[in-house]
Amino acid sequence: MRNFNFMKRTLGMVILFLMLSVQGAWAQVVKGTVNDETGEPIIGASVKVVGSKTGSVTDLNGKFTVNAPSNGQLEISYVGYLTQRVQINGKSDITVVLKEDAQSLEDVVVIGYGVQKKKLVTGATVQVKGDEIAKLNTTNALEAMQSSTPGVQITSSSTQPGKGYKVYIRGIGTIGDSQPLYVIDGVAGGNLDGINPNDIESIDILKDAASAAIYGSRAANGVILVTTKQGKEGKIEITYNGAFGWSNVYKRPQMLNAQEFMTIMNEYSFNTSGQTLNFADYVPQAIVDKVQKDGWEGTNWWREFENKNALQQNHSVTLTGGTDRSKFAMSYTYTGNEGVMGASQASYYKRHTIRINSDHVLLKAKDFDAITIGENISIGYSRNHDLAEDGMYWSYIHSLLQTSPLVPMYDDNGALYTYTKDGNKFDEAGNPIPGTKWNDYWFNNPYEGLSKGGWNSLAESRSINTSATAFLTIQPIKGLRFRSQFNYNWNSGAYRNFGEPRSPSAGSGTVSSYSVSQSASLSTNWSVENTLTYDLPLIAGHKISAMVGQSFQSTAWSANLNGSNSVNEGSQYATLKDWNSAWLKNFSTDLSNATLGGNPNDEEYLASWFGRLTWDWNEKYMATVTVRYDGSSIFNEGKRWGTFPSFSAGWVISNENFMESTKSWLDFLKIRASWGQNGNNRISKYQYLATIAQSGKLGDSGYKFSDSMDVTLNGTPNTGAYADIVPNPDVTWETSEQLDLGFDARFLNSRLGLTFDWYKKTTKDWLIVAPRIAIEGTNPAYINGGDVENKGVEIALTWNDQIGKDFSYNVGVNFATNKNEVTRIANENGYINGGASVLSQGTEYIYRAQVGKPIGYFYGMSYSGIWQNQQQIDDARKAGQAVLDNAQPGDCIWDDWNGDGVITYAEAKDAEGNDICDRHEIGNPNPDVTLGINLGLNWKGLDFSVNGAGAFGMQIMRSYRSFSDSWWHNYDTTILDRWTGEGTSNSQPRISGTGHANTNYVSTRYMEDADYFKIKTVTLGYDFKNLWKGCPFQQLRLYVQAQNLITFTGYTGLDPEVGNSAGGDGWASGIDLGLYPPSRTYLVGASIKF
Amino acid sequence: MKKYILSAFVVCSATIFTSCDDMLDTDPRVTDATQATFPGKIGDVEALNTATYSIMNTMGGGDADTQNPFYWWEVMSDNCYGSGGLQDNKVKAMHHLTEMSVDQFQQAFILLYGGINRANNQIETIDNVNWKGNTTKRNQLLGEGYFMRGLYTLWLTQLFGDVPLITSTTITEEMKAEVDAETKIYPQILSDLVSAKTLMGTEKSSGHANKYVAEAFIARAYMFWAGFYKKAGELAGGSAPAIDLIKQEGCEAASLSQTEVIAGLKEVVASGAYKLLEDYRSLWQYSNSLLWDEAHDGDVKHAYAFIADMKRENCFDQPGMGNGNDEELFQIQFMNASRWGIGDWDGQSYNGGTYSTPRMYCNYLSCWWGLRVNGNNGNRDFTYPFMQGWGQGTPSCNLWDDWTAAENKDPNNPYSDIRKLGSMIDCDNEFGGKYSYVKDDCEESGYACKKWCGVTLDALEGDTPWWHAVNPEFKGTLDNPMQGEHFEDFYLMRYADVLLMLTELTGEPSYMNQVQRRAGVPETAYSLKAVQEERRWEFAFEGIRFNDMRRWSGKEGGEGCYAAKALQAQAGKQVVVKGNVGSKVAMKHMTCSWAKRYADTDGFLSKPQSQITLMSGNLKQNKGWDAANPETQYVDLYN
Repeated sequence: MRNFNFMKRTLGMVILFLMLSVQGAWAQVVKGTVNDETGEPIIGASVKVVGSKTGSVTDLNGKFTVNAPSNGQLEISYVGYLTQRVQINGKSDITVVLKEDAQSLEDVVVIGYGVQKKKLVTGATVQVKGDEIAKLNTTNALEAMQSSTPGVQITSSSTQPGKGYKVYIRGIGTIGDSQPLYVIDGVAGGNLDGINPNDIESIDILKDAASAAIYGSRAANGVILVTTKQGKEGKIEITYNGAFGWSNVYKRPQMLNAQEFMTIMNEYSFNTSGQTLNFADYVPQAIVDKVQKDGWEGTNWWREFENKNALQQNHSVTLTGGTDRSKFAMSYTYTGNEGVMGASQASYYKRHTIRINSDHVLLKAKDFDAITIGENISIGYSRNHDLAEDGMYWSYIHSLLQTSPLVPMYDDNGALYTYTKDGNKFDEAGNPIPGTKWNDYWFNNPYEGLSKGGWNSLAESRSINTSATAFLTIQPIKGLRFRSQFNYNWNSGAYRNFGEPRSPSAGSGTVSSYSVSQSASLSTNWSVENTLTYDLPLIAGHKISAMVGQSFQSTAWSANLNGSNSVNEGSQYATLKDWNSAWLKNFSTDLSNATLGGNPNDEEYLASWFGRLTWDWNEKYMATVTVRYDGSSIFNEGKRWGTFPSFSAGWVISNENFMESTKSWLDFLKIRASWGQNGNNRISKYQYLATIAQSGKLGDSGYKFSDSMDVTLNGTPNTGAYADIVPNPDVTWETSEQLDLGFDARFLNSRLGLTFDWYKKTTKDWLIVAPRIAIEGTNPAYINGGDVENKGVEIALTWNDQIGKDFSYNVGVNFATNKNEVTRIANENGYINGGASVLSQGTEYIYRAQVGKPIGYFYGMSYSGIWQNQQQIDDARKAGQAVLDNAQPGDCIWDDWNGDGVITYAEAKDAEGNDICDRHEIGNPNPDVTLGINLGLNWKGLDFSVNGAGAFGMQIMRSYRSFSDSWWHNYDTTILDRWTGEGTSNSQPRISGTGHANTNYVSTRYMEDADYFKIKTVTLGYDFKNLWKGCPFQQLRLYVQAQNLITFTGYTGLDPEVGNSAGGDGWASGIDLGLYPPSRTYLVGASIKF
Repeated sequence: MKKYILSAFVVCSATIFTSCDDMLDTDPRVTDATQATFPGKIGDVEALNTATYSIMNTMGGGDADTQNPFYWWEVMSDNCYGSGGLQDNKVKAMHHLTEMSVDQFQQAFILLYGGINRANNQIETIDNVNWKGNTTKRNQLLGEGYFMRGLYTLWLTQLFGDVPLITSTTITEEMKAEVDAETKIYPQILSDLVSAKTLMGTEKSSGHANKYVAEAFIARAYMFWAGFYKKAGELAGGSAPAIDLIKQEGCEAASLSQTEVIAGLKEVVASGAYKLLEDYRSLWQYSNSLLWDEAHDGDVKHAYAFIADMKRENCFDQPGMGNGNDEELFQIQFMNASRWGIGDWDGQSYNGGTYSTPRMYCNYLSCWWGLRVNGNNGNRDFTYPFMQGWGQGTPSCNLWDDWTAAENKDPNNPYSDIRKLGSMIDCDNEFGGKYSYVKDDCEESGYACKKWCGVTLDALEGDTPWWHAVNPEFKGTLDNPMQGEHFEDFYLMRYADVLLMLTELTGEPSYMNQVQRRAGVPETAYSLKAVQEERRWEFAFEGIRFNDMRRWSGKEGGEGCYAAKALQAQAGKQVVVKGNVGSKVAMKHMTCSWAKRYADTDGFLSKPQSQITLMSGNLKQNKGWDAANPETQYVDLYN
């Protein structure tokens, strides 16, 4: 420790000495001290006498001495702090407290293959500091950025522990892969899921094309640059950050209880057949009695599936330090998250990461480092278990929402209630006793499936991800730097899944065997990058910096191995007992049902050349030109290479002389404009080749040429082969072109900051799978088949101020608008329909991509009220209004949208080709406006902050039951508002048959506005260093935090923030079939710095 | 060390800076073959051939209402109703010759062109392989390619009429336009079948076509063309015109005459390769020996009386019976490999290859045509040995009534046709009064399809088909045996058909008499009406009836033609709706009348609207299917 203090002291002396040497001679000597807000001296702050060329810097104790006129003014500045001016007013001893600047213009931002002063940036980028992210205690850094990144829409793809986020930068640009490119410490192509937020120094998001263009063919959806913590010169600093917390579900769906359920089922029966239901046909009489006579309210499946007080914890220890020659940062972090749903099989995510970053100067020239080497190494190990929540048929959430409350979870003896337990009872003559049996459909105990391995409930994935980067920088002459970087990733994973015999439960049927599957995978990829940068010496105020570079990236080697076996109950080895013993080896020697597979992944390469030229003149006018030339193995020879140029320019108006008059309130104003092109190559490989698919054991091209009754698909001649694609040799890059106009401004002594951007992003030659033209006889290929436009405005406002000595506060508000529109689809009809049966089995598709509309907009019928009586229907018919033939009171009054006098649900055209269908655009899952709010207060070591985020103007399609084929599914309580007679409802139709238009038409009935605003985190902390000055810590902050405290919304479903496409296409969104619920978490944590 | 690191970087950089386009060359690993190199050996051609046949598996192994035309043709005929649950609208639309969506029939359209594409690939690339010393094998495989192309094209045009005729994997602009079926498509079909006949051998190899199979299908295709397009009327007169042929390998003749068609069929008969099974019931899975044994084990609670009098050696699963029997010429063969997630090993994904469909390797008709029983009456003891299914497309009252009338035509000499109860379950009487009608079923006739209905055993638990017990080692590949464990062949051409076609073409009754004799039906002289009835009884629920009706009606037959009248006879039949046995409902057409819908469409289906749109004018909608006309659109009669 002593050694490092000595180093620090020495360094300070050197700087002081250098600065003192330029000092001139003056009459009055002014002495002073520069401190930070905590009272620590600031070493090396610059002290300038305003209006002169004289100045000084502070020494090791924060002290300075200058000669200045007694009525003069001093300007004190230091990187990372707000610059301050003080009047000397004849004083000879002045104490200055510099305020830390959260968003200092002197800050540098990361721009891809380099850094740049924030005030010189000409593109639209947003930076979030690692500290800001870490403060919010999220497992994934993206979640912490939800409230602070205008124009970047971040939604959880699932709220289960450890799940990733869907990120749309400036709207969805494609119906293919629309996620941004992640670049972690200069290595492109990772993701943020495995990175502990405490390891992050900063995240920079490149939103406009000009900023992202340096990443060329992968940057069409924007770029997210992640910089992890690097070593710092100075004494070794040890930081511990940790938190414990407890999560719970905070909003529960209100499902019908047993009595309400029976009422609605009776009404269904009466409305469809004129008879009430004989419940004993479906449910054992004893259960009916229990409900009707004993008042049993039935099983609340949701409550039974909750995992109360799910434990959350997060610990990280970081070490940083170094000398001017050698610096390092090391960290170990652990994150453990338990899910709030899944009871005994609750989902979980546990992650350990180790990161070692260091750099070493091998050769030092006089005033610069000539040769530097370094490395970034990270190792992540994670274990996770998920609860099935995909669509309608692979989801416990959907299953428990639809399960009848009449099914008991446990029998009277406390054992799991299974199908066989209340199967038919027989009288002595062997005849079944009526009313003792469950109906197959009505019986479902999802808890049985959960506890016995249904839908992979007994399963775990483990993975180890290792990334190692080595780099070398050679600076032969000052300002000319050659940097070479080599990265190698090694990922491995293992998965195991166990199933036990079980009685029928929805979706899985009776299972009479034990099953196990195991898989393991290994994959590697590597990349090498070389750049040459030259910062030219300043010539007449012109500063020019040039960079050229080259990279090569390879996803070369991988292997996957998987095997499974199943064995009938009774035939398993005695060694097979439970999950712990469920390994292939312990199963059976009987391999007749075993599968074995092994395959590589396809290789992929990307070769690139790129360059950037930046120029500024006196930091007043500035411009940047970049170009990238990318070649990708995904495309055919001749279609591989693409050029992606960009231009951007800025003008700092506030540096102009004519702006002197506004100096008092306008500190800084820069306007900027940028234009550029990026590409997207994320499509399946070999679209240009006529590939042959050969079926393995279970492909779709085998055939049984045998009379045997027990033939599987193994071996010739049962194995088939066929051409599986219509090759498209011309398929090539998707290009995203973007124009951005914006300004950055700071007002009122930099207390108020404003950033504004307007953009228009056009995705051209959009990569889509062509609709299948049947006569071609096989799979269609990707084509460059459409254009999409995104337009919007982003505004970010910040306010930082200090009142008195002890109180400071900051407020940040940002909002963004986006309008998404498809402008071309290269097929005849101009639209692409989504998949059918998404909302319920047997329903038409509900979302579409269509020219002139937003991607994935909702398509269906609309209705204006409910027919209240027959008179109303007759009058409407008389008046020529379109009415369905079978309309009766209680039915929806469907809108004749195209006004042709007929209600037509079928998507059809008449002989002239006119659309006769009355379905139309009824909603849009994409928000019009997103909003983020951040608030922070500091008072004498006490800190308080609130972060909130919201989205407005979008809709959600919701269905928690398969309404068009399963009338016995449970309802949520909104059904209690249905029409039951004249005047009872004008919005919810009567209960009708599963095939009836009221139910079966995809319509506004299933759609809701989903505007919301969420208070994401509220934090209250106190640094005990303020109370206990003598403690051995630099910081001893303890805090409490609430996450997801309040959601303001009118949405009646579980959560209006729906990032899931419910098993539909990847470009669909806003479909809620009952998703894993978001949780409210209370945390207690500590940040300790030694 | 420093030096070492430095030089490593230099080498690395130097290599990379010289990178060029070659470094971006890759070969597929997972799919490991492209058309440039495949097929390269005989086994590859066999694999192509297998994949060509496999399309049939997908047609018969997926949801019958979306992709099984053989099922459609029964539902559209007078043999079946739509029935099923309230929400089963596709099948009801089909039964009324309407549509519930303008793409309702797209799946078959896609599948059949898929089969054609695979056959074309097989035909085009066959000589990429060195066949030296193996020309017989080459010719057999090429012949099978032609055969399957002809067969898929036949089904395609029978469903959709004038369509693009695709005879190459390279689709030219010219090929995209639809062509006249009568003068362009049928000559190609017959030429393909003639090539197949010439090239293939006579060996019977399970599941493969051979020369005799081709001869039988030549007759079927020719008879449809002559009857429907040429309106040849009664063919026994020998008046049907010859059809022009197109020259290609194995097909040198300029035309094919009725005499040649007859000669082909006679060759099949003379070969002795096929015969009628002694017992009609041997053809169907309900006659399996496991069930037979239960009928004879003395326990009266589970004795299925209908097969008790059979000889055990005639049971479905005995050698020479059932799958692979001597009466089969051609059939779809299913295997023990059905799954929810074809193409994906862990069963999570439904997306395998191009046409993969959950359960595709099972005969899903057994589920589709299974009894629609659930609730209290789902007790399998009530319906033993028949299983629950979706109960869609249940047999019509017309079939039962017409059959009964035929049996009692001569009041002095009534007879009992074994095929009637061999094909249909008479639910009220056969289940001892324990069958109850289901609340959500809309058009129950009281009959069910015995030929395909899933069959269970008392020895098995729950809804598990008898296949589960065929082999002690046998384990289902689907979690849900009720839906996935049905592996009986679906017959596409039985020897009985060869015999009945011969009588119809020649007027000689002796062939038909063999069929009648087996059924216990009095032998009759030839008359067209006799042939028509015999075909209806013999092939009920085998996908034959509708196209027979059409060829006996002729194109543009109007509302008075054979098919229109037969279909219209469904109107007024009494059916049970939503379990109300006490107050049956008269069957009525949902938009106009069956006769009108048939006359308007000639029995063709609507071409998928999205394909019409995608093909910019090359594909035109069929007559009678203007979606703007409400008569063409599904109407919910029962909700």
